[in-house]
Amino acid sequence: MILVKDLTRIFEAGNQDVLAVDHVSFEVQPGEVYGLLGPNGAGKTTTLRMILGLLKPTSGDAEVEGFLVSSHPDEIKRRVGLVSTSAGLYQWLTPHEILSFFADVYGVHPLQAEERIEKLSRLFDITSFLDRRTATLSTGQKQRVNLARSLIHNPPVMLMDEPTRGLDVVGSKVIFDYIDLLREEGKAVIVCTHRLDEAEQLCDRFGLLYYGKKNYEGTLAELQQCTSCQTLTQIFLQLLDAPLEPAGILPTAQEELI
Amino acid sequence: MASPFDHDSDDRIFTPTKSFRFSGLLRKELREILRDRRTVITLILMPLLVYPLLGVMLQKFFLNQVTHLSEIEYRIVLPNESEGQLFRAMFSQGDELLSAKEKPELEVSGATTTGATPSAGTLAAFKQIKPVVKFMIADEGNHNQSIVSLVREGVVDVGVRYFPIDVTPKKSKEKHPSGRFQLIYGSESGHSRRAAEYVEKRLQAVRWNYRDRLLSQLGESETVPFLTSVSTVKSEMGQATSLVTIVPLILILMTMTGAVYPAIDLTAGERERGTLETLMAAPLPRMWILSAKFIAVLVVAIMTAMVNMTAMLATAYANGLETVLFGEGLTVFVLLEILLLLVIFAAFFSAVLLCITSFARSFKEAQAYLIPLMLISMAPGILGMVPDLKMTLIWAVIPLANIVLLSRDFLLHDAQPLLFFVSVFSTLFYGIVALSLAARIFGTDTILYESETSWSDFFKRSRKTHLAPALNNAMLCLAVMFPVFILSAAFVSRLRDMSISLRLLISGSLTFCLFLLIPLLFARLGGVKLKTGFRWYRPGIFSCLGAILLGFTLWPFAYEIEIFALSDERIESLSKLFESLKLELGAVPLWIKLVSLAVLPAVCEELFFRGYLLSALLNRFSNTWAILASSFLFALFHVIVRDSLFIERFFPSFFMGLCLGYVNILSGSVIPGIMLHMIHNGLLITIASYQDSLSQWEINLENQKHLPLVWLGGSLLMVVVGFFLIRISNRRQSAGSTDLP
Ligand SMILES: Nc1ncnc2c1ncn2[C@@H]1O[C@H](COP(=O)(O)OP(=O)(O)O)[C@@H](O)[C@H]1O
Ligand SMILES: [Mg+2]
Repeated sequence: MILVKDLTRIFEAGNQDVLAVDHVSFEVQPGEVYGLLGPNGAGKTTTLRMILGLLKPTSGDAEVEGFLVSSHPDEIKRRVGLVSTSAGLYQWLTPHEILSFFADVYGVHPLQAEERIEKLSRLFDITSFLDRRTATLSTGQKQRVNLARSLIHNPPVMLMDEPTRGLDVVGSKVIFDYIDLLREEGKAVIVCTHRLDEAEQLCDRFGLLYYGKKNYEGTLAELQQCTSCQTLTQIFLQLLDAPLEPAGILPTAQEELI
Repeated sequence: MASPFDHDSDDRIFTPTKSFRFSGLLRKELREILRDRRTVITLILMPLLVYPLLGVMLQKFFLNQVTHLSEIEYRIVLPNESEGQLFRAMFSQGDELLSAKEKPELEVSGATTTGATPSAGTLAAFKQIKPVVKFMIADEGNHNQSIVSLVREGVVDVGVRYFPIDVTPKKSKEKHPSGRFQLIYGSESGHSRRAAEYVEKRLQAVRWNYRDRLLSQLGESETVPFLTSVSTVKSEMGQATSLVTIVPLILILMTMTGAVYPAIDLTAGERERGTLETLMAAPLPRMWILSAKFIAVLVVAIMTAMVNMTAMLATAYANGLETVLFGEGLTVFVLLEILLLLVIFAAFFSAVLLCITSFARSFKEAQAYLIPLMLISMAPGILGMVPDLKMTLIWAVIPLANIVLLSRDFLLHDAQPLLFFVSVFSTLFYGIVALSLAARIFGTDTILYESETSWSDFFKRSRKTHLAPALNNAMLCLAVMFPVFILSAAFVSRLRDMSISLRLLISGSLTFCLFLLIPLLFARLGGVKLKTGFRWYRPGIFSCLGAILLGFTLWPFAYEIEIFALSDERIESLSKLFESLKLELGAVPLWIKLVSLAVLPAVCEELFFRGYLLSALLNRFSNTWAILASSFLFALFHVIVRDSLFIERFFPSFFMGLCLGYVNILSGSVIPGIMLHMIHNGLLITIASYQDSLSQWEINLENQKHLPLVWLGGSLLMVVVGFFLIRISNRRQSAGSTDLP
């Protein structure tokens, strides 16, 4: 479903190059929730942006349902939903207008769009303020509108960047339910987060990024087995302790899997 | 959670049309900007901001007028001495009658400086000034004619004619001498009109006084001492003093201020509020996004300008100033004219501002970019007020300056249609270029994620190689070429001192630079493969034969088309023009003529119009439309000869463009077209120089008759054979091998 092949991105910051993502490859199947984990600055967001075609990779490519992002960016965009904490809403529009705007630009049939807006607003409990200006909504309400927006075109692939950042317990619960829903719908999901405890509950499989390199990959059980640590947090701390030779000490999960 | 897609009617097959998705985009942009309180505030605040400025300017203008007025005189011309005496007697009688009535206490100086509102104050002052009236007698001869022409030329302000009438009243049997004064003034000159009004008022006073006296005597009488009638002539003077000249500056101010906020808000604002990423994640072409934003900005700019205009015109109207502004007063027609200009200005600024704000990553940055632009834009606005500045072809391609001069001339009803067309066309071009530039940069990762890679990306050579240039690459190339072409044409015409051979060689090398080097540069920038981008393929033998045949036989048709498009006077003036050219050209060696007028134009123009441009057009359009569009542009370039326009060259050039385009598509290569073009031009030059006739076919005008029918028939046959050969060659080639050599 999602195929990431050797994605690499170098940023030119001043006169020194930053290797933000370094030959990262992985695969996500339909109905699978893949956790892209790593500390701040590990290159998670950059990876997501390259998959969606918002950033041009320095090398490598990504594939969604057989379309390459380098050659068919619009086909990818049509098939991908994006949930990002930094995403804002058009403050002068109402949630209903925003939802039907995105339905329009994604080419959803108007009647179908109305149907979906109704269902999604019931699902995310936004019906009561569907016709209020979004500038007047609370953070939690805005978040739910954003979640509904990401599903308006029923994409087979969902990319989520730090979905729980800045949210309270209720807000996080909404995200958890949302991810469960995506799994049931058979969507291929990538969740980027540095919240390892949450990731443990949410994701089926993990990829651990560190300084742009993917060091481990596998299910929790596999990771526990190969690192002899119990939790993701421990695995990570171990990783941080040996930053100089991250790939050398232990075989990467990828090598085991393939 | 229950699935929201459970009963989703996904089986409903729906392929959304482009216009459907675009209208969704447009609806969002319009809603967003029109609901924004700041937009509404700008709409209402702008008048408050602009008016003090405008008020100051008006006041300045009127103070100017007033100081002039204190010295100014109304010059009145009369046909002869006796009528002059009669008129002067009547005039001074009226003057006394009026001044007796008027209140003498108002002082001029007090009124100008202490008026409640500037316009009211100056206007009051304006009315108080007592002009000096100077009477003149027209020369002997044809009085009527000379009076009219004196007014027209602005030598005098009012002409007076006298028509004696013999009235025989019913009651009394005696004959009563009377007459009619006809006042003539220049319709374009406010000064002249005011002079006529001034005179008419005094004459009217005399009439009314006379009638009052008769009435008071209770004597019923139908006699009046005289009648007056007023008529106008179109005057040549008056441009310099017309207040119309500040209208362009007002238009710039209004449309620009209207467009600034929405342009920033819809571009940099979108990023600042974090909605840009979601928008860029949607499958929308960036040109759509920019077009929707453009329309939204345009709507707001037009609305702002209209609110301003309404407020301004209402003020002017209330103060009776509208006749000062627009000679004839404010008619619906004038309003429509202003509206048209307003749309042109608004479109230009919307596109340019959007382009600049697209580079910005925040409101602050956008403002920093826009302030210099706003200051720079004021300068061309002042051009409209420079007296005696004539609109020329060069002005017509300078952005903003062209529409400023255009609107001045347009409002004075003095615009030349061709320059009007060139100005509007080039403005349209600049707008499209600005928008496509914006589309290239808006929402790119540089802008979206603030990386340091910055603008140099934009100018970097494309890494991928393309077989054909992208349409916007070719359009950008054309947009660079168009002004450069006009400038270089004007440049060549400046070189009068040089020998004609040298001039021809210079113009030939300019052709080379323009039509070949610029496209090559763009091809490099766009990463276009030269061979495919310029359609430089090896043609079939039959294609070449056909093209050569066509080169010899197409000219009679082009010639007939040109003759058809010309009026008799035009033919006469053109043949005079070419008569002088002919002598010059006769001395030039044939090879120079052939190189500069046949070989270079053929190679360069074909490589651009039927190579680079056509292959870009073929990306997007069908063969027919691509040929039509390239022929249109080809013809457009041929209308401009040196520093003037020869609109009649359009049709034959368009015809040749169609033939060359068709040959190009049929043969799949640019080379047969080059042969055709070269032979076509070369043939005419050779014939002309050996027949001691002129160098190019359009110069055959000197024997302005139609060509013999036998020639046309024979040529037609050959033309058909030529196209047939090229067709056959194409068939054989595609049957033989599919890949082009
Ligand atoms: N637009 C950019 N310009 C320059 N450097 C960037 C840019 N975006 C990200 N980076 C750098 O790339 C690295 C990875 O960033 P990011 O992908 O945002 O990490 P994460 O999402 O894992 O926190 C960081 O070192 C960051 O400084
Ligand atoms: Mg991040």
